[in-house]
Amino acid sequence: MLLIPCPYCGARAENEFGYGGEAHKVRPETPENLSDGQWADYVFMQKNTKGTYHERWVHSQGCRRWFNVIRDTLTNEIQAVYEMGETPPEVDTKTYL
Amino acid sequence: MVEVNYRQVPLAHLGLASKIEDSLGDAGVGMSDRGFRAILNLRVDLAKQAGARESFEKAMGFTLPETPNTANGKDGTEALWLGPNEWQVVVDDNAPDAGTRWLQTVRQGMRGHFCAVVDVSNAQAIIGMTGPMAREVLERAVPLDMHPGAFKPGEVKQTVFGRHCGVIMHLRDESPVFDLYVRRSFAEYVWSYTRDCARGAQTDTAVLAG
Repeated sequence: MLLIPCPYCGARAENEFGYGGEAHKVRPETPENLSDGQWADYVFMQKNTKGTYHERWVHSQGCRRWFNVIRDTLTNEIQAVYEMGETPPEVDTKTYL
Repeated sequence: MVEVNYRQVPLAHLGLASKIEDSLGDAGVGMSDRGFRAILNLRVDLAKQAGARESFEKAMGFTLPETPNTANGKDGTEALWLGPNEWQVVVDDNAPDAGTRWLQTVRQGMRGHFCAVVDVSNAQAIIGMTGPMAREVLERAVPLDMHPGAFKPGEVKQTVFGRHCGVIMHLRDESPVFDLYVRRSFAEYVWSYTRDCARGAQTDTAVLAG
């Protein structure tokens, strides 16, 4: 089980959290002008990196706040956590491909 | 206002009053139904609402705890930290209209600030746990580290209890005495689950007075 350091409550077990997918996806300015393909791309497609990945988590059983996590998806090492709206901190970008 | 005659604690059907023991005896865990209290949920962003801290202190006589996972209080009234802008205010007042009255007190005190105060008294049941095996038994139900070095007196933690989401645990003192705030409909589940955990930890439970 992962031990996730919630920026508000401290380190807690993974089953207190919910996963929110990739962070920092930019919502298209004018969705009405997009084709179905482009919209589907925005909604469903994620980078899904093998290595350092920016993602969103919610501490649903704790303080119920959303925050960002930088996690190595291969080793599960959590490289950084930061609040919503903050600029991601600099970390070693790990890639395995 | 809730009619007195129709008001029941969520664990009433277990008939706990007739099972209350004077002391723990050989039991490792003592459990009690804490009965009714006035419980309010307060949401306010102290960083953005200038003077909100002081307004709360003036209304209730103590300051809101701003350190994560802590509680603060005075004379049977306390505030539990639930999040960076959320608190649970608990008043040891079991009058049928306690929730409404304290809601008015806090609302009037916080007047002028952008905040939300909600009476959630009837949404929760409060279960007390104590005894030498309380930490060991609770450890079987929650993913938290229950070691005395990790869960200290005065701390409040929200977590998962078995399959019940969003339990608030408040460690009142080191003996230990825990207050568990659980959803009303989950009160019996938490009660039975704890007894099950005690069996697993090869100890007995005793019902104590709230």
